Formats: sequence, structure tokens, C-alpha cells
Amino acid sequence: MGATLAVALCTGCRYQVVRIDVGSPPPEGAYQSIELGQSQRGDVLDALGAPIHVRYTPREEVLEFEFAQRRGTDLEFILPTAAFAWGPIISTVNSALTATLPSDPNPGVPDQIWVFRVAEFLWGQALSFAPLETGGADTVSLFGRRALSDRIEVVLDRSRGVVVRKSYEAPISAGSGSLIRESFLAD
Amino acid sequence: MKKLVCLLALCVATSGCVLSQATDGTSIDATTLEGITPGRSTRADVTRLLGPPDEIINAAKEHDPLFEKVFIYKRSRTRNSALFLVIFSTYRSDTKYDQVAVFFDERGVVEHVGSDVSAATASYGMPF
Repeated sequence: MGATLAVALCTGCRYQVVRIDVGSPPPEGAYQSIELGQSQRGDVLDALGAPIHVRYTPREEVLEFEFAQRRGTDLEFILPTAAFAWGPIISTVNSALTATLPSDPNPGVPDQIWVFRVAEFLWGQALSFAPLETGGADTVSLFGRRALSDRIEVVLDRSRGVVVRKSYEAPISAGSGSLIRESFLAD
Repeated sequence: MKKLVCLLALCVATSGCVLSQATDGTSIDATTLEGITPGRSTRADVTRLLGPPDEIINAAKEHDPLFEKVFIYKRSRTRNSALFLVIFSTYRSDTKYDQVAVFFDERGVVEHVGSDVSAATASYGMPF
């Protein structure tokens, strides 16, 4: 009986590990093969494949390539939120806090940042108790998920048709490799 | 022993796993792309082979801001894997794309084709 009760209670609590991958990382050495002042659009496409975005300015053509990953851990508590009649109270308090709490605390004042981030976190947890139709959730989550994107940007000069700039931001590839450790270190 | 068996049976009954797949669009294969010839194929040829593009990028040139410079085609396949145990669960989603970007010159003729046919490589697995 006790074991059954324990299992029943445990089904309301869950530790979840999540990983979501979108796209494919570039082939090894592909980015390095692109040479400034020499490589042309065809060379870039041969090395990196199809860009995910293309945009133009009057003088430049920008090709963007991206591999995204979202990963993290959640500690979730599944709650019967419908039992809490918070609707009007939540709406009123939420509107007041939205009007008074700054979205970007002054980074030069550490105490202010700490206070507002704690307040923001606590309020987010409180909102989770609200009924679904007022913006609540049926789970309360601790910890969180980190979204990372490896992004390559190649800029070509439209008049000369050659690569003039390139950049490679690779937070995924530079990660520690430990999904759970990185999740605990996530913002 | 009987209690242990009952507990284990309850754990199995409250666990589960899910494998699912979703595709968006029709997959693009290399044979189709071979029909596009730089320097010869036109927008009409590309549309006939690949259908209407998912996105058209304009060249943003001063004299012709609406010039259709790039056709982008994107197909995706997503494979999801989930494992639910009593108090521990995992979820992994893997999305891969078949992507084609066709660049046209001033005459509307294909200049370059960039492609990445990887949708079939989407896989199931654990998130670790």
C-alpha cells in the first residue's frame, strides 16, 4: 500500500532531460576552406550547402547557415491547477508587476539585478499555479533549457562577387559535451 | 517477493516510450537536382522540377527592388523519441532538412545551386 502510494505521488514529479536538434553541423574544414577575397558564391555553396537565410543590402549578399540545438533539464511537478481559483488575482497582480518591474535592470547595479531576477523567478513560479486559461501551466518547472545555435555568416561583395567577411559562432561545438552539467550551468 | 513483483509491475505499467515521425513537404532527391543546369535552366524550369518555392528572396537592387534573386526550398523530417519512467523521462527531437537555394542572374537564368539533402538522416535516440 505504501509503495503504491509512493509511486502514485512520484508520478506527479518528473525529472526530464531534453535535447532538440535542428539542422546539421557543417562538414569539418568547410568553413576554413572559404578564403576572403577569393572564394565566390559557388565555392561557399559547395562547401556549406544551402543557406538557411539569404539577405541583400545594396552592396552585400549575406548567406547564413545555422545548426540549432536546445537542451536542458527540467524538474517538473504536475499539479491540479484547476483547483486554484487565482484568475482575477493573477491578472491584477501581473498587470501591476509588468508596469513596475523594468525588463532590463541596470547592469551597473548588481543588487538591483539580483532582486529583480529573484522577483521575476518567484513570480514565474506563482504564475504556474494559475489555471491554464489565464496563462498558467499544468506543471511547475525548475531549472531550464538552453538554446544554442552554431551560426556561420558569409558576406559577399555584390560588385566583385567574392567573400569579404565570414564569421563562425559555435557555442554548440565548443560545449563541454556533458548535457546534464551544461544544463545546470545554464542561465 | 510478491510485493516486489507487484511494485515492478506497477513501475512497468506507469512507464512508456514513444517514437514518432513528422514530415513537412515532399522530400527532394539528388536526381531531381541534376535536372537544374547552371547557365541554362530558368525560373520556369526550376519551378517545374521542384514546385513553387517556399521562399523567394528579392535582390533589393535600387533599379529593380522586386527582382526575384533566390528561390529557397525546404523540406523537413522530424523524429521524436521519448522515454517515460516513473520519475525520470527523456525526450529527444531531431529535425533534418532537405534544403535547396537556387540563385538567378539578371536574365532569370540559374547562376548557382546550393543544396543539402539530409532529411533522411534524422534519427531516433537518447538526449545524452
